[in-house]
Amino acid sequence: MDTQEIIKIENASKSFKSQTVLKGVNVTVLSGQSFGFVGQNGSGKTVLLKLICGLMYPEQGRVIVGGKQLGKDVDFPENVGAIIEAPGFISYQSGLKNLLYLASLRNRIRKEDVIESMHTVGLDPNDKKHVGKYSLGMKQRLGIAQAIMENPSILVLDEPMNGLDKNGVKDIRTLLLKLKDKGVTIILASHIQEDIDILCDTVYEIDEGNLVFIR
Amino acid sequence: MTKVLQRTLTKLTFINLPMLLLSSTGFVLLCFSNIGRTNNGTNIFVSILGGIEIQDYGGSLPLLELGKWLLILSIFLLNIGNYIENEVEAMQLYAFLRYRSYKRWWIHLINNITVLAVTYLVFGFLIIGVLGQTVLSKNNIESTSILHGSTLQVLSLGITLFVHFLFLGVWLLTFTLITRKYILSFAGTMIIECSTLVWGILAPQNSKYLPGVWGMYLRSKGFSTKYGFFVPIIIGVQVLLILSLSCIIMRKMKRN
Repeated sequence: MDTQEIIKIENASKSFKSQTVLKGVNVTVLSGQSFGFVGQNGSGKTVLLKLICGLMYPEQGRVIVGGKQLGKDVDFPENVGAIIEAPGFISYQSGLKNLLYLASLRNRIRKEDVIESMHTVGLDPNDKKHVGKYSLGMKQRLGIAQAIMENPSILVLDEPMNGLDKNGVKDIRTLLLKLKDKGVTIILASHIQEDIDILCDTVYEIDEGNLVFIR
Repeated sequence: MTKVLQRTLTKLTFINLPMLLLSSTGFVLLCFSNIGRTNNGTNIFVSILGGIEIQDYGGSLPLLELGKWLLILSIFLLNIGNYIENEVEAMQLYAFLRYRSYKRWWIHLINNITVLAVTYLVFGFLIIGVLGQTVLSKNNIESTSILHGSTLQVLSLGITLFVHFLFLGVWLLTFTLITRKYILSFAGTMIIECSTLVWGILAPQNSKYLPGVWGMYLRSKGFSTKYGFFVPIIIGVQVLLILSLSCIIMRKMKRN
């Protein structure tokens, strides 16, 4: 495998009951690239992102991330930050406490790094409000903060602009462009064409389980 | 030192203080419900947390005792349910990516359930101890010898309860992860506990084989040599069951 190939999906198929969501999908993502997946609701964008994160395994084919096959060499890929579907947190704790708890699972970063990631997404680390009282937009920002706080080399984002206001969308776009410049590989699924146009080098559409190259 | 303390507190973020307050209220209620009970000098911890005594109930069910025992269990299972809803289900994705393996993630969950079980029992023993010494003794409840009894008996009760709670917590977690429905798993667990308890009361000779009585000190060999279960064997069986549940969940998660 080429050292530049950070994600390789080979002939991956996934179905639920009688419905085939992905049909023999092949994708290779190079390190530092930003990939966009577009498609209608239920087209399989989230499923594809889950395959990349090891949250699901394909029935056929294989997914290799960082040179390791998911489900065979490792359960989950290393050094991946992700936000998939609605972000979930411990509702009776503050945003900072939630992130510190998640950081304590891997114990790689300091409290200062967690605080910085909150500032980066426009959240106040001193806000004592419980996450249960957060708006959808604030939860989304917190989800992005947890995805970036450990400086992952791959960022997997499923509809990251969900629930964000105009300024929030602008802030997160700027943040993602900065990360892209730093060499972070970004995999983005979105139904907002503008996000895809601004943030992604390569774009695929998922149509009836097949990947169609757009640009 | 401060850093170690901070790190420990961060690791305990999953503990829900309002839930512990609810648990404490439950223990206070249980303490007061013990007033006036004739108990032949049974230690107050055993009297409240020990379960249902093996004796001839003449075919009827000791409903109050049964209710008290199910209250203790249900509040604990609510604590576990709250943990499942908040940390396990909501943060599952984030935790997976950080642990990078199902095995490490599962060990983390079992550790947290262990912490919840220990915290719950420590709260219980503390409240019963303090209330027993103050409120109950002022009411001249001589029938229940306050805080009196062998340390070994209390220790044995604590260990028996802890292992049973740990087993029930892992059981509830496993079935919630499989069915994706906490309420269903909670109701199922309570029905199994309740029905095996009733069976154990009506047919005491079978009680040692029934999961519903496994955490009940008053149905152990230490209390009844005739019908009681042998504590180390039951603890061994529960540990084996926890390991089996772990294998089931590993297979299930990987198959997804």
